[in-house]
Amino acid sequence: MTDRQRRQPGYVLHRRAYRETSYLADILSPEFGRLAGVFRGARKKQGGSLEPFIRYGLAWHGKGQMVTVTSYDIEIEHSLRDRYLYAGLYLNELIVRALPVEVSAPPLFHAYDNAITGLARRDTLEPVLRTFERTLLRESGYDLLFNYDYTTGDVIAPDRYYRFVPNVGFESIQKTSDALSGRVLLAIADDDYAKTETRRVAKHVLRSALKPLLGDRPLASRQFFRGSNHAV
Amino acid sequence: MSRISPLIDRLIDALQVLPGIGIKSATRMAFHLLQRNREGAGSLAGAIVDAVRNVGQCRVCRNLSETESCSICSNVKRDAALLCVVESPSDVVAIESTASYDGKYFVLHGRLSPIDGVGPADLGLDRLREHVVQTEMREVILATNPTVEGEATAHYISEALAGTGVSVTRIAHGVPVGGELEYVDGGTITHALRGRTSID
Repeated sequence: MTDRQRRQPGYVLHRRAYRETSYLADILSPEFGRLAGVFRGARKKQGGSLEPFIRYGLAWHGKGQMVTVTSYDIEIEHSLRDRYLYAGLYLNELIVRALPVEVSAPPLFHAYDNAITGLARRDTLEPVLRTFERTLLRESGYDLLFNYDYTTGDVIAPDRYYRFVPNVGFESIQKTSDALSGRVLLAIADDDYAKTETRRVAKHVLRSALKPLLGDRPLASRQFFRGSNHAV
Repeated sequence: MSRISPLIDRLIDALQVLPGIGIKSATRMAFHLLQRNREGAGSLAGAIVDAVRNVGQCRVCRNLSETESCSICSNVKRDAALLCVVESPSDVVAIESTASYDGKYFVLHGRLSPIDGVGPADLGLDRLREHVVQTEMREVILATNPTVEGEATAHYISEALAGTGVSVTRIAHGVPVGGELEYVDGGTITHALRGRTSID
């Protein structure tokens, strides 16, 4: 069987010590999605850090669940600090929990690259996170449409009211205190999070939409935001 | 590898719990102990049993200790208002070996790591805050590793200690002493520039 070398950009989502001198890391790459890579001897290397939020040019051998990384050159090193660092850890935890291994996901990689760039630039946190969460849902096979009423197939009307039905979508209802405004849903469909109300609804809806993908165990990174900024 | 005898096999298997010890090294060690140094083997076995039975965590700093309060915490000559927070007991040893620090320690036994499921409660951060408030600490030095998770941990602790009045500092990261800039990675140089100091 041929075992040719593959080259891809990639981010390390998480790494753990493996044997004496190596790391075993969760990698996100565009064409091969999430995979586990062994970085032989990487723990002994001085300064050549293997860390999250660095985009590497990776080369690896092997196929299937675990590959052997033969080289990793730093392409871009993003510096994430304080709550932007928490947010980056949140994104990594989301991917590891929600995205199945080896699902090719170029749009997700692109969205992650954009999100990390935004976090390093200290953009407003919530739009960055919500845009990424929507892509993750889509790439995990659950395309939640914010601009259609799933019962009728009609486009969401700005002046009508809706409710969110998990795993399905939005349906039109009479105006109640917790009904979602069509105008807000359309803003989310456009990833336009300028208004506080849009940010509040998007966070709430996406959180329950992601729930089935994440399982019952709570996300550990959500605890970090306690008391500081509840962006997730 | 062919097995030798039940007792020797058990010894070889047991030695492999040590980091970096595979079956070959374990076999060599087992034969060495049995053939050349039976006295040493007895004392090794005794030391392991005693340590495992008696070494726990210091009530105050969570460092490994066989007494309720470890030797550093009970040393009245050390500055009790200065606290250095580290990830592991081996970090305490590393700092102690420099003889440049005379405050006390707090050992987290880990770092915040969401994917490994390690959250604030696992690191005893409630106890840290309580300790800082009770002892009227002057300064807390955050000496977690300069990794992504170490930084997140340091930031979380600094937030958790806000409002206690204690001064929170972070150890400097930069170019290693005796190192050359040319061979230092970009992240380290960025840190080194950010943390530059004026020459007195």
